[in-house]
Amino acid sequence: MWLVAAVVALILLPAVFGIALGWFIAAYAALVLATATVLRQVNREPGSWLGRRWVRRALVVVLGADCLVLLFGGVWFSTAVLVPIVLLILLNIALGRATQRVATAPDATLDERQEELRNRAHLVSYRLLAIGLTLIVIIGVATPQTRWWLTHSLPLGFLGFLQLLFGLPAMVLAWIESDRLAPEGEQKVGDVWAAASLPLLGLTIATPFVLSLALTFLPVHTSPWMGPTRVDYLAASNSPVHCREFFTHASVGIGVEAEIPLHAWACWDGRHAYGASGMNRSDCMPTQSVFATVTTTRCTRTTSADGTLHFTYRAAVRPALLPFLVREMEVRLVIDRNGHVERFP
Amino acid sequence: MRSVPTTDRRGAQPDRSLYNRIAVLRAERGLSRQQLADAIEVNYQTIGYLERGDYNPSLELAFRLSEVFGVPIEAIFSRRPLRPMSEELYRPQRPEPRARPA
Repeated sequence: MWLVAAVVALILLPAVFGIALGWFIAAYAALVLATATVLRQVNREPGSWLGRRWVRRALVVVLGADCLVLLFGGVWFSTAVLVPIVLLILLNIALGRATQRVATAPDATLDERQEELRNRAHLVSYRLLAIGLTLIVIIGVATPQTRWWLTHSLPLGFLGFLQLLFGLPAMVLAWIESDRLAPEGEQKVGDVWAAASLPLLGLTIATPFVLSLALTFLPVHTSPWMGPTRVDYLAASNSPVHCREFFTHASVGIGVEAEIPLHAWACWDGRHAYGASGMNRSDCMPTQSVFATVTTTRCTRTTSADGTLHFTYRAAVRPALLPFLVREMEVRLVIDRNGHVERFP
Repeated sequence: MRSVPTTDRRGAQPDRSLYNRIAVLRAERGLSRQQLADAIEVNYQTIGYLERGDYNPSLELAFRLSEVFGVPIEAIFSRRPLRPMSEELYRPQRPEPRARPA
């Protein structure tokens, strides 16, 4: 249960520190808890899914990919760092169940076959770790760029290294051991838990990546609002100046999501339209993102020769887990010198 | 006589597994894998590995199996494919040669 408590604490920690994460985090936390609970109920002598070699090898591949994400991902100052860490915990629980923790068991609890398997796993792990450490040394001295990358990835990369240092024997053992036999007679109920564990674990692992991918093709939603036209009695102008308030949010994604706002006042006097407030570069700031990074790529306000005001706020959204993907979001306001809104948002 | 190493140079199991009659002997005595495993003090998964030929036992483990089944080790394991025990037991005997008169 301490593992479940650790998972819960990791999920809720940002909420304790006042970071607004939304409904997705709560739902994902529930999914993680359910998966962890089911994994712990899986029979300790699996002849079911977790006892099959291809399942164990898939677990090892996913665990290795998670370590690579920790090593190469630039998500240190983002809530997205929770996802690979949570996955690390869940996958280790599953791996422990799948291997019956033979890799770390003392001699007295193992028979000769298990002892030989454990020793072989440790031998292979030692060799793999030696190769990995050699690569790290080479990376650390090769070029200034690789040294910078090594230093930049050190905090999370060290976590991935610890996983390999302590978990590699179990991963090797899971890879090399043959299919296990199904338990004789009993444990129909145990098979139910085992049957549910694999889909749940797959769903928990896949959900953040699927939602990150969905960010790139889901439509952008906007909620525009325009206030009534007001006369600006304080404006120093010979002709009457009218102003209007414009408000909108442009958001994209589900769970992995981002939002950019626009809250501005535009005025016109029949000769030209101009931005009264909310259209400066300092106003182009994203308000919210979940497991995504938002970068303002354009924030311009221009008035054409015919007096039409053009305001463009464009941002690039990248999922934290798949930073090589990018989605453009744009909010535009075009209003002519007579107050006619040609485009919004 | 050619010696057969128990492991190859890498410490891995040899490609040629031993043939065995563990499953047959276990079925004849009505033993489950768990019961046999308890009798020879190993994990029941190891029984499965032995029966499939995925693991070659140590000499000590082979002797334990011999004691439990009450048959010699060569009746349980062989480097060559084993014939059915019934064929081994009821193989027609060759007539003994007659003694020549002095």
